[in-house]
Amino acid sequence: MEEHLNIREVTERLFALYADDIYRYALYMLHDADDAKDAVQEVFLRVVKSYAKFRSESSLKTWLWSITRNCIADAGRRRSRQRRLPHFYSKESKSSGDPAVAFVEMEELIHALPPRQKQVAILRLIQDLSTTETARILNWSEGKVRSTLHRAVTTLRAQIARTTD
Amino acid sequence: MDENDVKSRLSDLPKRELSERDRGEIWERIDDTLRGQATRTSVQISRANWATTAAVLLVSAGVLGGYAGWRTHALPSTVSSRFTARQADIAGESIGQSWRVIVVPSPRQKGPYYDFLFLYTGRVPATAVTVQTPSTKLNGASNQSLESDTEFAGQNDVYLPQGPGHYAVTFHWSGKRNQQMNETLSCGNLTKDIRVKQSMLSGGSTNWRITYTEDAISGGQIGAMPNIVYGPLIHGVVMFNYLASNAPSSIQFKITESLPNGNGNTVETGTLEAQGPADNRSTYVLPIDQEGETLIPGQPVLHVQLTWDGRSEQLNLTRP
Repeated sequence: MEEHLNIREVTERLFALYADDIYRYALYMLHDADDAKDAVQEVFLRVVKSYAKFRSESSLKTWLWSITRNCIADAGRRRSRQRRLPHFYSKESKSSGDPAVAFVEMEELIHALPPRQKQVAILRLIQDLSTTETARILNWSEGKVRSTLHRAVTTLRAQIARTTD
Repeated sequence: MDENDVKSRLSDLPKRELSERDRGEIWERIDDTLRGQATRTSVQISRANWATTAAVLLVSAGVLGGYAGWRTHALPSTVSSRFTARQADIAGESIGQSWRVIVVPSPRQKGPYYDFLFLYTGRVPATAVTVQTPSTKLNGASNQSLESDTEFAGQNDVYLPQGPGHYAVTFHWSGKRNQQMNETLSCGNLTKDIRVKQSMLSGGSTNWRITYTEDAISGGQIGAMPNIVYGPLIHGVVMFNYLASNAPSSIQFKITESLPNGNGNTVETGTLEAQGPADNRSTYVLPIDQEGETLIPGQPVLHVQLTWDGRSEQLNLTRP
């Protein structure tokens, strides 16, 4: 992204390029469509607020995903704060014979992963980010990304095997 | 099934996307903020202001944490403790028939940023709750009921340059026999029986300072409602370096907690990247994830080990 772009142009471009990716990530992490939409909004509001702090050492994409990661963590924290708040999921129905059932089941398995494994699985395998990009977003070493991804895939394999038995 | 099958299944998942309507609505709110941003450039934290921002936090930490090694002589004498000062700042609540809106200054953002909490106080459990604020709409599922004295969501870091006086929140919900209810609360006349206790933990080593903030909000008894205590809420760990040379761009960190049995529990490891100016005082935000954050509040001591350029230092973060 060019250095001379103003904040509106940067935000417009990032929104056009990544709003859907962020929504998808938030949906997997939060498991709630409304929360995911709120998260997309929050991410870009933070982009607007904090663009002045952006340093070009990291790419805008990595910076955006770091903000996304923080927003999702905040959303999770708000949930834990709402201790007595009932869950407000808007899960999609799983009608029998629906060809989308396999996808929905797969998504449920992803959602059931431990948080770190889930983060890595989504970023690497669904968002198709590289190991390097994922490591930068999560502030992890690349080795940790690889090992966590391996654990995530192993967990999913076991879960899939269990559901198909 | 082998590993590649799993990867293939994941990459084959449908690409869920925002609907055009959702995209439009979200962009509309961002656009509103962008318009507001254009008229308030003076409150943006520029690169030049980063040191001052860090200094405010440092002095705050020094005052509250009592750490003897702060280099306060190098800091502007007019900088006061943001955190103690703001306890007496705008914090209060707007009380309606069935809802309360609690307003506190944001502990994360310097300037006119506020956090809002929405609390349901109606007698009959509410369903299909929707909260409409000037900047967003929060929905609950229609078939879930919200009991009395239950917090329903909230909003953080809302930018209100004129203060919260013009902020109004409208609640819609289904009450007894599915009767459609609504209530609008304005934050123009806040009841001041709310207290915000914001505390900051601090620590330091030869070249590093660390701060860690949390807050708790409590309110007096209103009607049948008992004293409410929210929190502690965690607002993250911020680090500053005092290295004589340029700040390193990459620092390895390891955060460990002391457990009651005397053992250490590693909370997080990773790499920090400077977010401050490229001079000899940069800020770093430690990325503690959800798992870590839930562990920290109850623990007495947090240790942070930093390694850079072949050097290593450990900071101990102790509750004041």
